[in-house]
Amino acid sequence: MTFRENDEPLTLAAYAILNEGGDQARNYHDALELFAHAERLGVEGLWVRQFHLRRPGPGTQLAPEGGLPSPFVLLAWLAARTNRLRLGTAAVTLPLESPLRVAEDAAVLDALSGGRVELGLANGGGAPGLVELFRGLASVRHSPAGSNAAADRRAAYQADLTKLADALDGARLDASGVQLNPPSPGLSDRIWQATLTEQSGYGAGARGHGVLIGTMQTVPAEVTARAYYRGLARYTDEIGPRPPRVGLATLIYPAKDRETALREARAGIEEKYEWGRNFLPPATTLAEKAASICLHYGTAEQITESILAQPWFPYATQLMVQTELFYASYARRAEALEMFTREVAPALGWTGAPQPSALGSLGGR
Amino acid sequence: MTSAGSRLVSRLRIAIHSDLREHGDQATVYRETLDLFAHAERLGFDTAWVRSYKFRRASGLPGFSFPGGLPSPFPFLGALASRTSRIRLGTAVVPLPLENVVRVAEDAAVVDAISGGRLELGVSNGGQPAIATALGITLDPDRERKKAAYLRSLATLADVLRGEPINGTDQELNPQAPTLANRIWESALTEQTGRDSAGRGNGVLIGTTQTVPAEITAARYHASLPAGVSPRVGLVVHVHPAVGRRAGLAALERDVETVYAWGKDWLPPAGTLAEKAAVINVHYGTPEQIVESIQAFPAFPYTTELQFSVGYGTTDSRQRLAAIETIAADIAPRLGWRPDGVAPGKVAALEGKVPA
Repeated sequence: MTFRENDEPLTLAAYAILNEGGDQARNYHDALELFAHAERLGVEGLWVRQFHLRRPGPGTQLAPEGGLPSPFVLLAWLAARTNRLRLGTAAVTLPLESPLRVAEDAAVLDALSGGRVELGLANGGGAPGLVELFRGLASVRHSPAGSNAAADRRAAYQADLTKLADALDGARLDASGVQLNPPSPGLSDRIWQATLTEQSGYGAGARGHGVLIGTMQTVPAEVTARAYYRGLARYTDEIGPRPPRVGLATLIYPAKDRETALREARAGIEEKYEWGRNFLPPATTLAEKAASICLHYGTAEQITESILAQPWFPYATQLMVQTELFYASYARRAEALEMFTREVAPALGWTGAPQPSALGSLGGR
Repeated sequence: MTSAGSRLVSRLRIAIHSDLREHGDQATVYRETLDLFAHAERLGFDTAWVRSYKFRRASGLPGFSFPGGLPSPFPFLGALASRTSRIRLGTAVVPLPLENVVRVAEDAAVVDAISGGRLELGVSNGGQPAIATALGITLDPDRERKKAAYLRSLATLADVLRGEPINGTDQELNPQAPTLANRIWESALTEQTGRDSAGRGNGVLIGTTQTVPAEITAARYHASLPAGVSPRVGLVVHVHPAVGRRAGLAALERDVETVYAWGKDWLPPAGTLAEKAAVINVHYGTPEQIVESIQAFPAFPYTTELQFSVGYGTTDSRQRLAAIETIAADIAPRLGWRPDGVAPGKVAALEGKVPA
């Protein structure tokens, strides 16, 4: 039944942007408990987003009230509580970091977790002024007159990516021959890039990296995904075969029917649509807006049908399931994730299974 | 001899301190250190401190011959926060000249948030020029200007932690960690640093690679502390329990010789192995001999927290676990320590071993 454009087994990950306001310590702990539960449900991976700093006052989608600036620290907490869950950053904004410091943090987390890091990286600068703040004024590349500033930023990002990957591979970092410590064998094969455009999707594939694709973007996700496969084909021709790794953000809100879902999620849908109305597909009714932000909602059958109808679905090797924005409590998020693993994912071709310890709690529901 | 009764500080705390430079696979060293620290919490230790080192060299090159180390203390402490519930979590230390202080504040704030406010933030004006070069950072070769840059970074770090707008932007730290600025410690090697750290209300970390005797730094710190500020003086002591002095020294030979050879240009002169052990602050032998040796250490009376390192002379994790059990049961109580916050049954068990 499932039509897919790749031969990889479909895997699941929990995906969290963690940008709610309020008590951040409480938010982090609630999220960590949910992620540990995800592992018990058989979910293979986890991705957390990175946000730096905040503006005082009420948050907005563009300038959230909260967030997680240090994904490696949070994932290290989880490494000590889980055994199997892949621990992903989605994504570290590389222009705001020292590539070698990122390599060190990633290598330490990989050592602490028994090699479970999935290292997602992204180009971009965050809020205005952040690049200068984090990298220093001297490191901001000043473009000569007439040059293309965006192209310069892409080139700088590519140079940072190379430096980071080489350090992970044990490159000598100075004339005396110092190397990154701890050693991180295989970690450079677990780099993913979060991309927004056809060009960057192609670039991720051409480097043999994985790709992380959002579904609320200016460029349709399937366009980016197809470009990635073309890039990966080039990598295969020039370097050697490598399986595709394509993570697609999958926003869900289960309810007993679609009307109930829309009613309960109304405020979140309206807010998210307002945030992206300049580039999202135009919509008027609440149901159109839900479709425009690519929310999958309703019963398990309706959510399954909605995901299968997505033009990007055949290209996905991993669904990054997001249970945020619309939920009244973490208990509701846990229920949604359980329902997804039990009733939706198997219908999409997922063959994962809960750990024996989770069966009891599921059976009791 | 100095006794616990003549100490300048009333309550003594104890810590476990590790440089994570034991020989062997790094992932194994990290895991065993997490196990050691979790056990230290059960024994009543107050704090766990990790040193940080960057990079490694292929063998045969000059320099400190120990392999490895931990370049990223905050992720490690994130994992330790998950394994423990009470012990305080310290960085010893983050070298500010090698870091972006806003990123340091972020990492520190996240560790503090997920640990229930247990972070102790140790920083330094460290950073070897070669390491900086490899990181793509240029350190100012002028000592005074480098010091001034460190002091600016330190002030920025405290401001950012207090939630002030950062560097002229409209941004502030998230997550918020306003009390963390009161938990900054500075690595203090000189009399002047002892005085200045006290003036800033920070704690001091002494006892490692000391160029000025630690008691001089510590005495100046106490004398310079503003009214109403509690002293925080952490002293690292390397401890190796053994059946006697001779057996202890034999086990320590390789590590003592290595460390002394590495620091001989600036360490006090020493000829015999015992002299070398003394100048690098290693205490060994029976519990009684170790207690006596620490009490005779001139900086001890100024110390608020003794930071025990058990890496020297040990070759496997079971030896290190046994060493910290001996410290908690037979050494620290005789130096004036009482466990605080461990289960009542555990306190009774430990106090039962304290001699009348």
